[in-house]
Amino acid sequence: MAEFSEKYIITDEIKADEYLVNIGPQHPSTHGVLRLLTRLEGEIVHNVEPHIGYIHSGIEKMTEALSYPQIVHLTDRMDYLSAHMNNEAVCLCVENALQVEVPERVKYIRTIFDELQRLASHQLWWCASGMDLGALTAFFYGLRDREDILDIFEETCGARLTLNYSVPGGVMFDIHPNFQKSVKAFITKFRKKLPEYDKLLTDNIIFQNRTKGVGVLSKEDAIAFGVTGPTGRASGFSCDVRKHHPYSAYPYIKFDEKLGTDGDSFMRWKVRMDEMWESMNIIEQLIDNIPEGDFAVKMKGVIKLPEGEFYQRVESARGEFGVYIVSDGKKNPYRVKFRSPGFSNLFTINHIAKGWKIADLVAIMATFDLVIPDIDR
Amino acid sequence: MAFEKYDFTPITQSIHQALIENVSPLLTTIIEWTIIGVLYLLFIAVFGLFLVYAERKVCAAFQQRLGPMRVGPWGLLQTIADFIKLLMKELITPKSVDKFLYNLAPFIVIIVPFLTISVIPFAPGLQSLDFDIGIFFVTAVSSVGVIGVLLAGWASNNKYSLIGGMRSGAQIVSYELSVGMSLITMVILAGTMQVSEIVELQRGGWFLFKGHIPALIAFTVFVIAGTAETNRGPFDLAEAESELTAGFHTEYSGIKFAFFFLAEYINLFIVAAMATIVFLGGWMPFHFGDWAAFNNVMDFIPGLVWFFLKVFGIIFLIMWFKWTFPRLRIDQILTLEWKYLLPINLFNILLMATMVLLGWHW
Amino acid sequence: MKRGREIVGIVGKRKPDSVCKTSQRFDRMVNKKNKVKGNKDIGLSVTSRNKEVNLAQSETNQAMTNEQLIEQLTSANPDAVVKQGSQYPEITVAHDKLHAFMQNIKSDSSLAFDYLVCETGVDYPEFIQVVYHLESTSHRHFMVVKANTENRETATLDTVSDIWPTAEFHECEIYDLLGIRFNNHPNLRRYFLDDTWGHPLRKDFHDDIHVVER
Repeated sequence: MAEFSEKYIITDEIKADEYLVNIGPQHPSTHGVLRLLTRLEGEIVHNVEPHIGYIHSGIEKMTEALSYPQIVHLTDRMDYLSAHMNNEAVCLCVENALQVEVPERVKYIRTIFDELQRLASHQLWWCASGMDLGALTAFFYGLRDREDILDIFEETCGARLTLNYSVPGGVMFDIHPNFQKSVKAFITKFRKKLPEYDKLLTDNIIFQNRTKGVGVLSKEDAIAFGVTGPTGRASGFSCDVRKHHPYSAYPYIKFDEKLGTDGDSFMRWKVRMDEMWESMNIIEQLIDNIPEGDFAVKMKGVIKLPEGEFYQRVESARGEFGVYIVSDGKKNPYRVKFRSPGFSNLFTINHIAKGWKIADLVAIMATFDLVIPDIDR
Repeated sequence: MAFEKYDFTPITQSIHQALIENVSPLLTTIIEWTIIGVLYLLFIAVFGLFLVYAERKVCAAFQQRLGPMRVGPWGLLQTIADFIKLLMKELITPKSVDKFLYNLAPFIVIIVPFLTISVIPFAPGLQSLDFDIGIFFVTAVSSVGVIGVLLAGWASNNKYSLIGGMRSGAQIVSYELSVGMSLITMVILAGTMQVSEIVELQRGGWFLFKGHIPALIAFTVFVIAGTAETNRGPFDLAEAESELTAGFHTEYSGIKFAFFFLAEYINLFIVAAMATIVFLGGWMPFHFGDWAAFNNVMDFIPGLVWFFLKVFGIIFLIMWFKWTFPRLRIDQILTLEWKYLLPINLFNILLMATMVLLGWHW
Repeated sequence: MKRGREIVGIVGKRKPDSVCKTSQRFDRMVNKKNKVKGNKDIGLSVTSRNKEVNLAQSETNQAMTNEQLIEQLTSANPDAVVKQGSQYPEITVAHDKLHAFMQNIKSDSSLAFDYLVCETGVDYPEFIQVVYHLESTSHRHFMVVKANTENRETATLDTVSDIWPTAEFHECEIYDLLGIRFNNHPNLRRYFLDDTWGHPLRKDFHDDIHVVER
């Protein structure tokens, strides 16, 4: 094994005055088991080589032995912070393949859950990246507010993190009678809390100096590297799946795609902060108008997809999440591929972190919002 | 004056008298040294633990939580439990470290606060060393600590530690300048470097008020530079846990780690104490102009209480920095020092000198 | 201490109320800064684009329907196989013509497939297939391109990582899990597994411990 790992460690020559540092697999700012093999000169980063796979769980292989409703449960183990979006992607893919039209109520519920999940994810991102930049207090502010969303999730579907709420054909149960009330209460509360976030970090001069102009990703590079989500949008790459390929209740509502121009760490930060406002906006448009009706359509006991290939894209909190199912007509798929946003986003790091300091590498990683199981799958 | 009744000189004098009458002068000196040493040791240990507790409570208050609550009432015994844990922990020495330097570093780091604390007057008559170059001694000795940090970073044979040590070296050496210069500004106003005399000169009003504008600038610079010198707050680059895991003390465990930890907190106390002595009148009570009644009430509070009240005020301020601001980057820290604080300081010295020359101070 | 350009505003419709408070406040900041400089135009370009404009733009940009797209592709590459009745326009290219084809659809301004959404390997009994999901960010076309390897034993295919840099990493993943060697790939290494493993996403992969049987 030693021989093996040696083989992959050094990819190009180390020059004089350079040295290698392993950032990870266990490191506070990788937020998981990610290893960045960094070549440094003093504090200046010359090369970053991401090494992944430490928690590769072979979900794509496992799905080949499972039925479609079972696959849904595996998906929220990948990007656990956008669990509902992942669930929904598989459900939508299966529904599209079967030509099932879900009730309007389901679409509304799913969209509200999407946005709540996005809020929760961005809150966690906000507090964790605050911590990466050395502002530990931010961590507690973010977790405090995230708790409210998790309580709403728990009320309706019993789970707080891995929701498993979406099933092919609808959602698992109807929403809790208190759902609308508690969501509205949360939005009212969070609208007051979000400016606090700005006060604590966004307006802070140290924070701005740490992030402005750091790690610039140009629009061309964002497209070429397939960087999606808020990270890509900060570079001006209009990649919001909700806008360009609307699904669920997104066609019915008005919302803005937040686009940045600079593509630096601060812009990535700003875009996510603005997305939180936008998410609340979306929820407010939907929450009072949830139509009456069934919360699911009756599906067959054993779901068999027709022969063919189906691709479904959704916008997760990190970017474009895609499910590609190849079916040969049996009850379990022939091949399933998950296009995870983190995988494409991660490998841009070498491109943009070169020439910056090691502290900037941490800032860049923080604003990329990486979730390691999402990368490793 | 009323507060003179809290003077500690009679007590120390009587101990000295009792000893010199009964034993030889040499033995007297040895016994006195031992008493002072033990007292300082106890003070540093207890006060260090208390500061750790205070920091955790302050931090908890900023983060809207309770902090330690389980061990003892309001978690008061938490830090003692932590200390016992650290004492009993295994001392791990990694295989490839430079053993001599690795073991030496924590001691250098912990010696510095012991040396510095000797010139600090806690209350009238409660000061062990009263040089006529007290301020100079503090600035000189406190720079020794950086050697320990650099040694720890180098001897650990760990790249993270090395980066941390180097950062710390660059940072402390730079900020020594600002600390020294802001103290010099005040020395110009005081006209002496003797710590007890500086305190005595503030009987009529604290230097912060006496020296008004330049003193205020010097105070601000001193607090910023002092925070940086103790490797705290937004300047905690040397142990930036999100970048370098724990910086220069990554490889230390048990009591050796506790030494670094304790030294950091005692250094914090020393910075706060120096700010108190030079700017806020040391153990002098707060007086306001001609308000005789008010001044008498203030005089009633012992000097020791005044001293620690002021020190805790400044310590709270520095803790507030830490739990509010994100961390700076190494080049930004050096820019702040060399491009902003240093020119401000040089200008400020000039301003203070002019002011003292023209007698514009109170 | 400042690097790079000043931050520019956020593109999007402005809400009068507190919805866009963050960006409003930020714009105020930027404006203030520019006022001090005495130049209001430095780097400040706030474009307002709401949904309607966006849709209209995409309609004008989408010059081709899916049928036209297929027609243009097949006229240029007569031996490419088009699959009928699939979810998206789908075209299968011979493995030796893959690189040229991909180069063409990226550089052709009427196609301009500049965004490689996803690259997937699928194991079939006779060959291994690589599926490219492509999108054009200017025209908003979406298309699926497939390429089959000659056989399963010595599965090789040309890399497209020089056309879309993101492919470099997707191809490493495919190499790891399906064992396709990509010619001219700059740094083909296994991402997830070590050399003691086979290629688990192949259908004939068998592991006695972690049994996943279909």
